[in-house]
Amino acid sequence: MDRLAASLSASLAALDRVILGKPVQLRLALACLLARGHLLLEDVPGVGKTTLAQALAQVLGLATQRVQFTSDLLPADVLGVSIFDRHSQAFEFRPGPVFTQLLLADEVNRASPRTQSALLEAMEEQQVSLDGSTHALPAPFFVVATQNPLEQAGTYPLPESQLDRFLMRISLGYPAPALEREVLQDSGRHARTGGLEAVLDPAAVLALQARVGEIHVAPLLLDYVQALIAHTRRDATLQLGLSPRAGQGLVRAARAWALLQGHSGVLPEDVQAVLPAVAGHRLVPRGHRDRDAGRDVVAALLAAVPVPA
Amino acid sequence: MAASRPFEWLRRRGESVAQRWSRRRQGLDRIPLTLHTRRLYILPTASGLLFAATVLAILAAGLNYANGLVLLLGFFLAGTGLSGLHQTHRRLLGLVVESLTLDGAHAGSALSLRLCLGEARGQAADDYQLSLRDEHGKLLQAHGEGPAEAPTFTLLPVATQRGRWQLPPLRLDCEAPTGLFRCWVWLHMEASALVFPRPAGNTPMPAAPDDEGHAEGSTSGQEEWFALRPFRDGDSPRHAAWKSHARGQPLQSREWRGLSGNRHVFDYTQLAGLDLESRVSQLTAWVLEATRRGDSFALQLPGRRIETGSGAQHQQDCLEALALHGLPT
Amino acid sequence: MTVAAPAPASTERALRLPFAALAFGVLLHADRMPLWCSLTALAALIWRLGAGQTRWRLPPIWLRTILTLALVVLVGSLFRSLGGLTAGSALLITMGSLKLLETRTVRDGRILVGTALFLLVAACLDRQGLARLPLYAASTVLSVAALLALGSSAIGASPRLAVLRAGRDLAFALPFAIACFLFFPRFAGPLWGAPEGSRAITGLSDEMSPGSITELAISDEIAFRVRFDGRAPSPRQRYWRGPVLHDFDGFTWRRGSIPRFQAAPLAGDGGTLKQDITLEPNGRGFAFALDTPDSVEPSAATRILLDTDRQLRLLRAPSQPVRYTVFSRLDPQDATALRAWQRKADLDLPARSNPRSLALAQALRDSNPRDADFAQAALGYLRRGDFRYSLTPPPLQQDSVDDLLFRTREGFCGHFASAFALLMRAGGVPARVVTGYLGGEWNGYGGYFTVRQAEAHAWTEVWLEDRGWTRIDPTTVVQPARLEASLRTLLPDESFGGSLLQAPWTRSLFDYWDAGNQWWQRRVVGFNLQSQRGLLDRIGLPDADYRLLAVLCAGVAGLWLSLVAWRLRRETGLRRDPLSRAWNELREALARGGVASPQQAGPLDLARRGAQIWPDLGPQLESIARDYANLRYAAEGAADGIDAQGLRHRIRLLLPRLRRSTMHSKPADPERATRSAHR
Repeated sequence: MDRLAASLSASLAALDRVILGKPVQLRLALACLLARGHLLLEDVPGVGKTTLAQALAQVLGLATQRVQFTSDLLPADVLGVSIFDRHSQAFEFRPGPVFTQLLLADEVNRASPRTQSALLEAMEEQQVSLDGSTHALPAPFFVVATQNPLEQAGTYPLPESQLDRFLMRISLGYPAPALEREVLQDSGRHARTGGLEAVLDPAAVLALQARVGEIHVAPLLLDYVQALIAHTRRDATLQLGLSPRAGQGLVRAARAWALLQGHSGVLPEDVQAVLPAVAGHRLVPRGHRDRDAGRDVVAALLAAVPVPA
Repeated sequence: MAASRPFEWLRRRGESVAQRWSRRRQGLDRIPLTLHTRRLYILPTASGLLFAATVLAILAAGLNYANGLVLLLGFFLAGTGLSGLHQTHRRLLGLVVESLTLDGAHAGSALSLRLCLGEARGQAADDYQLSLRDEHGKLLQAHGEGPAEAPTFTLLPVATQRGRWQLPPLRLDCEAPTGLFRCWVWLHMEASALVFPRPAGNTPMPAAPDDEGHAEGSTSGQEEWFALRPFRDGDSPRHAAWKSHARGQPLQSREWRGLSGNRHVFDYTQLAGLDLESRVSQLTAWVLEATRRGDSFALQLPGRRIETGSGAQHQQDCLEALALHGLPT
Repeated sequence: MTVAAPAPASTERALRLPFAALAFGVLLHADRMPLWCSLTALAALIWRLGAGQTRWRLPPIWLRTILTLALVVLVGSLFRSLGGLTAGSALLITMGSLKLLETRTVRDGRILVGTALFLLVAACLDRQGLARLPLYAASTVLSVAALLALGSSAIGASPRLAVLRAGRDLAFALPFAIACFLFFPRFAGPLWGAPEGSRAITGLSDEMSPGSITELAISDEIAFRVRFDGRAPSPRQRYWRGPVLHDFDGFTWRRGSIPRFQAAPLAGDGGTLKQDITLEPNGRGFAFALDTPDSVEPSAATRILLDTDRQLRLLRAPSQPVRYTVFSRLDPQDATALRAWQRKADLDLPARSNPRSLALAQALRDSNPRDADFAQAALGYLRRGDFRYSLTPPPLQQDSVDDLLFRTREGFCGHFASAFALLMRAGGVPARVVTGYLGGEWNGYGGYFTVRQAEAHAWTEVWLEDRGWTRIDPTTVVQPARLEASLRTLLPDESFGGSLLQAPWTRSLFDYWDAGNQWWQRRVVGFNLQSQRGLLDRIGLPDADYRLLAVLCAGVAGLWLSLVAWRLRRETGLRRDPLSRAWNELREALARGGVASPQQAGPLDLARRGAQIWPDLGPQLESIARDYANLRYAAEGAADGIDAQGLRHRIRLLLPRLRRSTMHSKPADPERATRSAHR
């Protein structure tokens, strides 16, 4: 096992110590970042979304910024602003918090649609266009957005087209009773995250991302992925099947998962592991306003499509 | 036609015996299901029997008149017919039943059943036919639609009773390409759909207890929009989200929610003087009407209460409760 | 019944091929049927197509009923029956046409295809020539294509695809058809009557009047073919004996009603010539053989009769070519005496006719008391009398012989035979007219003689006390070259309208074709019980009875069906890679043991779940799954050390163990397996 792989497992071990009882979500989050995707954490307040995001940033050794989204937050508050400098008689660009390596966008659905779309455009293009000039964002660049469930009052839920920009959506859920007890006994999360040391650095993250691209994808696996996608497009109970972009994302996420699992090629298991997170927010059953129904749809999808032999 | 009735009866009898036999033989089917030889049945169709008779007549003529040409023709036709047996069988073999969806409906209207196949080897989706007998013994049939390698079928059986509608055995057949043989398979799948009560009754909706006298529909000052959903024909253009549309997104409608909308309590016990079914029907009518108006309501059934809420999911919960109310589980 | 709605567009499209198949079936009969029959079919087709394309209305039920009755009556009255082949075909055509007018459903379409097939069968029973084979093949392909078009909407939408598929299906059926054709048990004789031929066929008839043979002389149709076993007769010996005529009314010769019996073999020194004759149907049951027929081969004796006139007759007028074997003698010695009633019949002359000829005969007789001398004198009269041989002589009056001998002096073989026979009878020598053929053409490709209608001939036989019936051909006196050469070379070209058959190269081509046709007729169309026996002898099954043949047929059919299955399997791509098959078997075995939905599991996952149910087999399952995953999913290098065949073998070895433990214990705790599936 080479150094990179060793540091990867070391960072996972470190994260496991901080975020208790959520090994699957942790790995999914890491896989999402390694697959160059943005992550949406969706759950009721207080289950540790922010903790997870901060822990990720610290372990990966990335520069991090945190923005608490509110309904009066303006796009300039996120992206930055051009200010007229009297001395130089020119506009000077003051970069906003988005110019970082890991942006934690807390409660992204509280912001107005304008601010949301400004952020999402930056996510998609990896740059900020303002007043006719473009400013590239640093690499790597991740957004970990957290969101409260839709039914909360005073929120602007992300429309489907913008949800598509997030590679994965993960829910943390309440901890198991035994773990909850442990959390209750604990003095506070700061004590935990404070003790974390950076295991990786930005260069290592970029190298790992490159390695994700090298994971082999066999034709048989593509058959399987195609069968899955085709099935969602045929399924009459869904409003919309998976888009080609979603398909690409699925393969990328599965590669990252395979890397985490130490597989030399992507296995159907890897696709199955990431599918709920990748497809859950993109598949909306007909007649339901409830986006959580996507989870049942994914389970049904996995049960319906056989793995080619 | 009166003459065909005894045959029809006999046919149906035979069919149900065969069906039960196949159920015992195959057991319950789980989706996805790959069709293997063991469960495929094949018999000549009426056209096939006619064709066989024709070929026999041709062979007899050829033998009798010692005419080699006629004999050769007869054997050619016989061979072609027999290879049709294989071809028809081959169309079902290896087929995968990929998914089955059953959507509920109100009693008296049609449920929607959708079956998707995969790995089909037909020339066209409508080479295949799906059929079921509904509770009255009526035969419902549908040809496949969509791409030839993945036909889908839609059947709309009508359920008359509220409650759980159990899926009867389905039959998938194929006569292509010759029409001389019919190959079929019985699908015994455990699936059910909820049949909601038929909305009926003309008892006026109980007034909301907290803000009586508040006129409906005049709450414009106290509403806020809370969600976007795809624009549907018939939505008011005033509710369309033109701004987001101008940004290049698909046209959407803003959904409004009355902050101080009416809050009703629909109570089963208040509907005195009606029998159980009528009460359930009346409550169903109210639930539908209130949801249509965007009102909030609570549903009180003996032994079950659904708290105040509104929206599609709430309506779904209430209808489910009403569908199963008073039925043995 | 109301006028039904038009057929849906897809059905209408699929019905185009059945229409075409029926139209083609009608076309097969068009040249034999009265014109109105084909026109009825054409009109119905146009009407039906019009109704499909535009908004024409199809006829209502009452009109169809009336049309049906009218057409049945019409056919019945025209053909004087509804049962014969021609009448039956006409009935099929008209009823098929009417069916067209009410064709809306797939089922109707299939009935049309059935009609087309029966029309094809009728055509096959009628004519079997090699030239018709492409037509019949096309009709078969079209009918099968129509069936396919009706069976599947995708095929129905494209006639081209339907025809291609039909061709492919028929090609599949070829080995089956040939094997069954060769080995299917045959009947010794027909179970029911053969269809009678009711059409006018060119050929000799049982009467002869001046000019009747002239009509035949321009016909190129073949009368029969002869294959000699051993030496063949010289050209001047090639008299082929046909109907023998006794009764004369002054103008026409007829067979008469004298009693005829079965003939006994002749005596003679020269030995007999064995001939194998294939007779084209002539509608009358006449058969021919080299003059003079001695006996019929015993096996043919039930079908063919040689009577005391030495004339061959078939017991049933055939509609298809008939083969028989006959022995003939070139120098017969007929020892049987002429009975008194026979002598009387062959001396009979009509009263008050041809007075001048009678007088001439009397004069010749007076100077020649011996019968043979008298005959020679009469021949001499013809030779010296400046008579001309012509295909187009002037017509003769009622006293035909007087007219020929003293006025026109120009005639064809029939004229001279008639005149000579009359002179002989007038002189008290029993005489009769024999019709038949003179000549025959050698076909070097097939090794047989072809005798055509154009070679029809008539000659006389006179009774000489010491020699019996003796052939005298007066035509050869008038035109000696007729003996050696065919009519064609003797007569001016105009008589034949410049036939193509005169050029040597077309002649050769024609011979070649005719030889092929003969082979087809003898070996394929005429493949009968005897031919089958011969074949079985050759392949070493000399005493195969019908049971063995049935088993043979069933075996061939079974073998062929499995071949078809195999072929289709390849075509539809169901044949998977062997490792995939093994893996699928493993998944099924795990499913039987209680692993929930193994089809949906990846390899490692599957092995883990299997190991929960079979803990003892866990390590093996996991190693198999790991290797399988590497082979299937890993990058090129990772699977280097793994052998697919070995892996397959390991899976196969594991299968029985999985099955055994499934049978012994009932570990199927589906709950547990399901839970682990969704873990």
